[in-house]
Amino acid sequence: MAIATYTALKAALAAPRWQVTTTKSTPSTANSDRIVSLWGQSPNAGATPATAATCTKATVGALVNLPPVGSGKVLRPLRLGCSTPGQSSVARPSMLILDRLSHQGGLSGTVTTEQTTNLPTAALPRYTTGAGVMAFLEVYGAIGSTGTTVTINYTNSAGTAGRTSEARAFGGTPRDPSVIVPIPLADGDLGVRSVEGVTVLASTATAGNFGVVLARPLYVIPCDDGVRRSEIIPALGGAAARAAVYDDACLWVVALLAAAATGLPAQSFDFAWYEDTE
Amino acid sequence: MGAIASLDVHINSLTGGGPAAPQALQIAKVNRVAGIAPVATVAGFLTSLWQFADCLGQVGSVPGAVAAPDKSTAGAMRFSNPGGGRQLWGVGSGWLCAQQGTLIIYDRLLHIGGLSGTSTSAQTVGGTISRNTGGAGNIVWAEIYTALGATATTITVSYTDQDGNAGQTSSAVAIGGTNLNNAQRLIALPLLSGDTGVQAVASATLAASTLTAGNFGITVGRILGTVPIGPGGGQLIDYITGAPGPIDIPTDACLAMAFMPAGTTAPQLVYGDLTAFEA
Repeated sequence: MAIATYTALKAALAAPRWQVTTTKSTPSTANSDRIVSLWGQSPNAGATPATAATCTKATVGALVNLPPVGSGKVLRPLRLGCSTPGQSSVARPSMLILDRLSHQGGLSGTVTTEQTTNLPTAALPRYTTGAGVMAFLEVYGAIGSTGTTVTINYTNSAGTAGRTSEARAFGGTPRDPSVIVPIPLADGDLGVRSVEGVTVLASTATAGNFGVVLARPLYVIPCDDGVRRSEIIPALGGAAARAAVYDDACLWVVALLAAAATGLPAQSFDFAWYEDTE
Repeated sequence: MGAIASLDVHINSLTGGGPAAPQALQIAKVNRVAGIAPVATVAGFLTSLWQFADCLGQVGSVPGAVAAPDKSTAGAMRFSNPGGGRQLWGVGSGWLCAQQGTLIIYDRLLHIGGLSGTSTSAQTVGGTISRNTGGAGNIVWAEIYTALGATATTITVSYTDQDGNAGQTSSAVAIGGTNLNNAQRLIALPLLSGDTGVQAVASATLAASTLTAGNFGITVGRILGTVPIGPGGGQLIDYITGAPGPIDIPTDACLAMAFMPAGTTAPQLVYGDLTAFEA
């Protein structure tokens, strides 16, 4: 149900349907200008996936355990906040919050034929057509320092199988655990329904362990100042206003780090939602 | 054109109570062009993201013959046109960008490719703009698709200004040579003093050969908004309370992006989420 007036918005903010404050640490080895996953970070650190599996709010690693809502209902954001207390001016991350839908692992950085281990990905539990769903590769065990490229073989949101993504740099500098590699789709595709294979063009020289993650982006939360907290009121500022969260969503944080850093302090998140029709 | 009548209307529309469901326009560019790494960006020189690969499949191709792109053109950000005679307003956005600089959102009104970096004759552009046809606010860029030569020269265009005066010649600016011959480079072409935009571009002329034909074109666009990206790599823009105000997203707009970088690394990821509703 819409929030019809400013007065109603203030009332909703004062008494949100649900709110939570939580934290996630950032990886101890982070690379400059790299996108990193907080999946394996404490608290509630997610396990390294192996066989293809769907992700829900009950999956260990999910940022928060969302409350159940009624049939045909979703949660929409009232307030989104993030702060990185005590962070230096050099390494101030910005965050992308996604719904982690499906993942797998066990792929190798040295195999150069199409890898189908633990693939295809599990059927999407939400956004089932795949429209708006992005594909990522997440590194769980460091791959090698030899740079190469990687492509995925996927089914797009129209149900067309055998699509090949654009090639993406892989190995070399982006090789550490927690590194995330977003995969560009073939021209005209609207999203990914499933991934059937992954092909690394040349060996990175270390097998490591990496896997496919399918996720739907929800919110951007910049945390651009270690002192000031970032806060969004979507119904006022517009950004993320329509990002609906299903009550079994597996919220996942991807951080964009501005500079190489180690031992970054925890990021604190503050969410408030209201219940709405889908 | 519809107006956003009050703050209550704004809130009500954003939370789904308006005449149509609000939209979230998303873009997710990565630093690949045609399967390979793009040319390194150069601080202070504009980079076109038109051909950059996209995790949501919105990838533009090198234009050939002159055309007026619209929302159905490959590479345009996807959205639904407003109905009922209403206007679509962009009211807020969130951005991640793995490089400091400024992102530019523009309506790509006209483009052509296949112009040569070695020809010194007037190279025909032509075509017809179908949005903002009055011309005010329309900017002309030279857009490089395949590298031109290392010999610096200058470029001008012959255009029709916002008052319908044809045969106007833009001020000459540098093209070719260091930093101005690279693929994905956008070079703004300044208009004559007093002109505020273009209705049409008749031709483009190089003063001398750059010594490599390459492939460049002329792109006409209207800038809708900018997004500054600082060290943190993130930004939120509230277009209601902040500049430049709500973004008027024209029906059938070909929404595209450019980037003014502060460094020499093409951004690994540019993710954006622009919220819009009808009024």
